[in-house]
Amino acid sequence: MHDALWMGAASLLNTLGMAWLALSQERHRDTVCAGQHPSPTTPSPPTLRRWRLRGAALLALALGLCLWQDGAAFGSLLWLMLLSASALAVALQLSFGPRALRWLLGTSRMSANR
Amino acid sequence: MAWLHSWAGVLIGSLLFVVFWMGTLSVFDREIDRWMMPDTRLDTGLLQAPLVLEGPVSEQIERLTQGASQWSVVLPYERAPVLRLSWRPPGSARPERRYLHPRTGAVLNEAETLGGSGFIYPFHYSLHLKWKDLGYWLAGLAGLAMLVGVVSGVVIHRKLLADFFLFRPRKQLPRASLDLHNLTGVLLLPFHVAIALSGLIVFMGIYWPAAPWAAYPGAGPVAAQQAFQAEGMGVYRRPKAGRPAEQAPALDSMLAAARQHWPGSEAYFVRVWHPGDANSYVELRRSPQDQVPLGLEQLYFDAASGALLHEFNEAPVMRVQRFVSGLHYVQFKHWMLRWLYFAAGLGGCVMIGTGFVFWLESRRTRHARQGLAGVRVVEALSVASMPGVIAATLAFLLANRLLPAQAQAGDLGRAELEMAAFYLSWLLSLAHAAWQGRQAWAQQLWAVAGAAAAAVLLNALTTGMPLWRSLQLGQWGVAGVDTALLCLATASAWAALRLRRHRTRHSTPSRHTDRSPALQRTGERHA
Repeated sequence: MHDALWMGAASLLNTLGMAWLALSQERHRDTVCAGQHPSPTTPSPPTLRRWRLRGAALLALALGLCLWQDGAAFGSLLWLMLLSASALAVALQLSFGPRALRWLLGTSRMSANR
Repeated sequence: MAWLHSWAGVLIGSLLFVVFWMGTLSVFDREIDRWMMPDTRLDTGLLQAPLVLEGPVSEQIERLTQGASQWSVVLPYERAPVLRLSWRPPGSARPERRYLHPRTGAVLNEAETLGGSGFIYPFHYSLHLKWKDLGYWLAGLAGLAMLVGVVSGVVIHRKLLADFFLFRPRKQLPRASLDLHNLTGVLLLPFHVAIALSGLIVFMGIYWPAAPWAAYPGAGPVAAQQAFQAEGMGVYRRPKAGRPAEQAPALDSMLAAARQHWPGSEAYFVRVWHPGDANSYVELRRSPQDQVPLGLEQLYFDAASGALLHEFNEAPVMRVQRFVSGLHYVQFKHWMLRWLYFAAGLGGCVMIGTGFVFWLESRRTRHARQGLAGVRVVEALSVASMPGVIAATLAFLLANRLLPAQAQAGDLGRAELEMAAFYLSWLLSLAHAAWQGRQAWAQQLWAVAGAAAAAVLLNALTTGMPLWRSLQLGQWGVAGVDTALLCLATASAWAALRLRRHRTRHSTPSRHTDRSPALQRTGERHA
């Protein structure tokens, strides 16, 4: 149970991190927002940088969690494998159900306006 | 470098797919064993109680291995709750193997099969080609081609970061398959590099046999090899005394001593040398379950007194090699990583498969126009090596469930007949692919879907353990194989339907290539 919890958390952190990185690319932002009214404004470069930073921070957090829970050998291996898996998950989500990622932009637009 | 990528892929891709497919299945070889050997599906609750070797188990072993110069057992664990006994009968060249009940020592009827660990796993690294180690070299070549493909692929990828997450499944087949090829290639890059490189390092003794000669200058090649073996991997030998032993070895207290010696771990393998002789001794090896490295730690005990004779721990540099090996072998207990390895292996299969599809689709029209045979030949080979090898694997499973227990045909026993089913189906798939050309993809995918569903059905009918029952009993291995087969059936049927839709939507093949100049560019540099 304990294992399932922290591994689930690590997977989630990695996936969210990868999703932020993907959304900092215009092409994917467009697919996610397709058909949205009013069409969202393009985030400013500092905002995009902040998104990338946030994505990277989440990945780093997942690495920390894996290392802490699973030791250096298993932890780094697990994180690397999860990294690939979560990036694939984000890519597939973007191709088959991009709208499900819209809420991420919602929260980030708020932070962008601040 | 596009020419290098394409040539390496087209020439060795078929072989690489087979190695990748078998390797992916090997991640769950013990689970496939349980599926194929119904009598060994023991209750894992048996593992709760500590193992006792002395008594019924050792009596059984003594009976079976009469006169053998040594015998060994792999102790039961979660993935294989049975004792695996091996010995070489006196005067026989072939080792014998039996599965024993860990409590009673009863010989379990494994229905004469090599199973996952005896057929699929060795196929992964040796292709069952024993002549002059040819299979090892071919597998090594595949590993090398993988590295070449990964590196050249990164170099020729125009927009690696811009296309990092890009997959457009609704585009035309060549574009969609190239997207998927890039996606699986780039996102699984760490896995692909690590697995190909570690695969080569695992067999360094075969691929670089000269390395020990340099390490032990002056010694001849054979002596250098032996010295390396002894110093690097640990070898302890003691000759026979020629007098009978006074008592049987106290195996259980040796196992307890090993647990003390390796805190948090235990022995997974026990070998008795010169059983029954006064100089008999016992070899124990440390379980690789709790760590990434596939360690070589060994303990040797005197069989009569139980005194520790010799202890081996590998040197730090060897430890590095064993870490890399451990990364490849996945013998540790970590279910999440095991599944991730399996998924990444399948991702690798997808990468190789989509690479072929892209190559074929972007050349089809031009080759037909210019009268080149390239597409036809490569298509037949790739169909046979991809859906074909999957279908052949399923034929192996189906034969396992269909052949009667005492099946015999000429010199071939039941286990050989199962292998024959594999090779014959594979040959059949090649002939069918050569004959049917482009249609063969969908047809063989349908064959895979049907065979996978049939295997699940046959398991339910012949072993009385349908999926819900295996789940109820906690037979995770059997349940996992059944589930994977159902997923395979669904995925192949989906892919076959998808192919047909692609064909009908883009009816004339010329539109595939002529309308995508970008694809032409990457595809046309060579043919």
